[in-house]
Amino acid sequence: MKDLNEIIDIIVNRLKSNKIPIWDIYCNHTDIYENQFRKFDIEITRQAVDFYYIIRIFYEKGNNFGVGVVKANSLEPQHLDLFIKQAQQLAKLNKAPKYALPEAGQAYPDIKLAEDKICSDPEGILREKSEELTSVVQDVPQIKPTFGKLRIYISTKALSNSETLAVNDCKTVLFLEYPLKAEGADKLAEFWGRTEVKNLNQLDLQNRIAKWAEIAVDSLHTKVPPPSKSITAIFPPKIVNDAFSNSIGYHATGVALSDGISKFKKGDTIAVESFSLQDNGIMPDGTAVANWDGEGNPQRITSLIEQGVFLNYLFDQKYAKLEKTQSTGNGLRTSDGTIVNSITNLELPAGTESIDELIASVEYGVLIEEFSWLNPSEVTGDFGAEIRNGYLIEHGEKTTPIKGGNLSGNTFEMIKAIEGSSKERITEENYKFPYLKFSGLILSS
Amino acid sequence: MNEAYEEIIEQCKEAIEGVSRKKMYMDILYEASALTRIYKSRSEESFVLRPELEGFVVRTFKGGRWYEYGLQQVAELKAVVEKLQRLPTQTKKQVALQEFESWSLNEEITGAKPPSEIPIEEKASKVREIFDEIQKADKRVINPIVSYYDTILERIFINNEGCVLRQKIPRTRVFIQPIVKEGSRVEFDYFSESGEVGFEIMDEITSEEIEQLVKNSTDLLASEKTPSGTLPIILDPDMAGLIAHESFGHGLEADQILRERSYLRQYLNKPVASELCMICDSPVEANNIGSYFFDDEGIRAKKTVLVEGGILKNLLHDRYTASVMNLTPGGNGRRESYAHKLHVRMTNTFFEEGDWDLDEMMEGIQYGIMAVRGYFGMEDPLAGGMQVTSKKGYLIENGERTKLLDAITLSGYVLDVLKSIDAVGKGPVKYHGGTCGKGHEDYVPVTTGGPYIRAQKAVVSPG
Repeated sequence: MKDLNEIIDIIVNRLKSNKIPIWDIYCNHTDIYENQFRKFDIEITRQAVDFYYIIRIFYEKGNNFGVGVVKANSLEPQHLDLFIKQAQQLAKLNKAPKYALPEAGQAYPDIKLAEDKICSDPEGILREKSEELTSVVQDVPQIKPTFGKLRIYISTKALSNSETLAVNDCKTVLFLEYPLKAEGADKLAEFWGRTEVKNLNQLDLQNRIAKWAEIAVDSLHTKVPPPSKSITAIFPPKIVNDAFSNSIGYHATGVALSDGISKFKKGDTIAVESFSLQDNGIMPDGTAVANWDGEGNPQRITSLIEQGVFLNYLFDQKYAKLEKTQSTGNGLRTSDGTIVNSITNLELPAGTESIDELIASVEYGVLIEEFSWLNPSEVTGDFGAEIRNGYLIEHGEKTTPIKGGNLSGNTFEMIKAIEGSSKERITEENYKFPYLKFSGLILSS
Repeated sequence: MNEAYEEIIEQCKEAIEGVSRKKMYMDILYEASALTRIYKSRSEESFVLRPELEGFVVRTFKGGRWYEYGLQQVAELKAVVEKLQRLPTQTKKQVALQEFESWSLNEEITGAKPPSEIPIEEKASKVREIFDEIQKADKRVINPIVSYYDTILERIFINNEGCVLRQKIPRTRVFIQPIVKEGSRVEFDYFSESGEVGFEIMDEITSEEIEQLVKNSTDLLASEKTPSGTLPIILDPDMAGLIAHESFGHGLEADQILRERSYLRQYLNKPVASELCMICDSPVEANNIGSYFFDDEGIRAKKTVLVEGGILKNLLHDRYTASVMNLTPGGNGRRESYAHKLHVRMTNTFFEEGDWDLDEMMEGIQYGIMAVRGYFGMEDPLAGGMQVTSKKGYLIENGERTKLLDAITLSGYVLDVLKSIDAVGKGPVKYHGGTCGKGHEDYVPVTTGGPYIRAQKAVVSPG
């Protein structure tokens, strides 16, 4: 495989030969190393290479800017010429608002995105962590694994455009999925754990498996929680992220603003005073961390909500132009090559109470550990999700484990009904969140 | 861009020749996938073209364990095959993989209007036409979203049992979502259509359908919150299919049985549903996006009856699970792409038709819910829990639809719901195309379907 910069040079030469004045090229080469498990055994050991490049060609038409996008992996000159012609044809046909490509010479953060240890011996790390995983699980009483996945991604990316911008980077990410089954006398229960982490130390297999196993074993004794028309619920960081990222996060973007869908206006109070949310594109332990976004703008921190007041939207180049402002480094590259104006990592400040104090403050409610799938409507924020693992909270104490029943609510109402947040925060996937306590949800069962 | 497929076949055969089946099983899957995507909304119009993106995956089964490499360069095939041959054989547990008779196939589906023959101008023009129609239909439309995709997936499969297979299948989809607003309330309904067809799918969308879709969206501005509780329900074909697939079918994927992770493990040849129920999975339903001629490990596709007369009859298998359980696989080994692992997967999963009229079903309900327009769901293979959400529904009072309801989530224990089915509607079965993940990844095209179905017991709540 050629170096990505060499590949970009090859494509640039073809673009120049075809007299294309405005373009960008994004190249991605990802090496995947994975073990999947069946019970304690390795079911498959696999490696895969995923290389592609994306050529975007822009065509100026007065106030419009046609964009044509082609994604491919062939470097044959005759294929490249054909793809360039196709992208050019798409650009001439396309009607998009005119905007400029980011220029060279921008000040980028200097965050190291790849772990040397992983890059130098991915197969060794995979073997070592796989052995650690099975060894940790073997030591947990009452627990049996059913299947699992442990995966390493090493991604090299490069971006270049006709404004002479040229950047590249390498990033490592780890993925773990490992449902744990607990067996009782006449009952089975499961905690279906999965996560994606930026750094090896975040895997923390010993503590992670202990926590997942505890929930699985407790789930052997679950009851269906009784219905309630208004109940207090505590969500752990992962569930807070499921609740907020695609509803609150989407409404904070330039695209939601331009499409007239955003429920937020700058300066409006939209949440309780204790609620402050930021998009942190440079959070070192967040999986969406990067030095530059999919268009080549520096990623950064943007305060979205401060003390309950909505402050800023997130922009890519196009929506920044439409709203007469600057990109905030939130133009993320999708796998098909287009740019999506989106959140990076979301971060909430730590609260003042410990998790135990938060639970102690609930007279009657539920602590949710996992839903089937909390998937709020991006547009309305409405959701209804079945409780997979959780606990009743009675008189300030975690009591009966629960499974079943459906919790319903609306994420935009929930941020107005936050009654507490924990001192402890968890950083994984693309969030850094505390536990949050909400009131006013509906529990059906 | 792929070379002539004959050349690819020869290169794969050459790479694998000399790998003795007596020593190990080995196969190569080649894929070339092409895509055109057009997306139009109020602030965006994007055109993406992905000319054939190529990949190979070579795998072997040694000592009860799979090893595989996904690669993109045909020149690397031989080296990878040699590397796989050199892998040490584990001495632990040996599971022998069944041997199958070799077979050959070369099939292409084109569709009445092959997507590759339709100029991009024509595709864009149709998308813009629908967009404009939605925008003009009602002042409350704030964002008409129209998405069009066509993909052409070519897969070639070669193994050291002598299989030489090739299929080339187009899958075309359109998704339309008029977002409407009144006061501070924002709502939408959606229309989606898909099939192993060509661009003719767009010709079949009528102005009346667009008008009705916009009306359905604006009607939702006045929809009410769904009541909570255990209620009788009528499932439209979308929702019936979603339950057949998501809540029930995932537990029948035999890899879950070998993992000891399926609540259905103990139910083979036992009742799991009302005797009115027949549920099938079939990759050979013409024009449906879950269909194909052979799966991604060269097994001929065939229909599998999962439930007949309420009795659980069969599971779904890949080569490995069928080998362990000494059964015949029906072609359910599927991959998202060469870079993803193969798993046991569903294809087109549906309830077969019954003999009830919808009106008769309605008459039997004093107070209940009709759930309409399947939206999403999640499996719970270990415990049989259910979570499926519809985009909307209706309150039924005294046999009549009285109020339009917002999104509805159905939960509870899926076998309770299936056993409480007391009416299965007349055909034809309606299918709905979508994408299915195993857990939260490995997405493959599927359809789900059925007729209208009535069940007496489901936990209903706002979705």
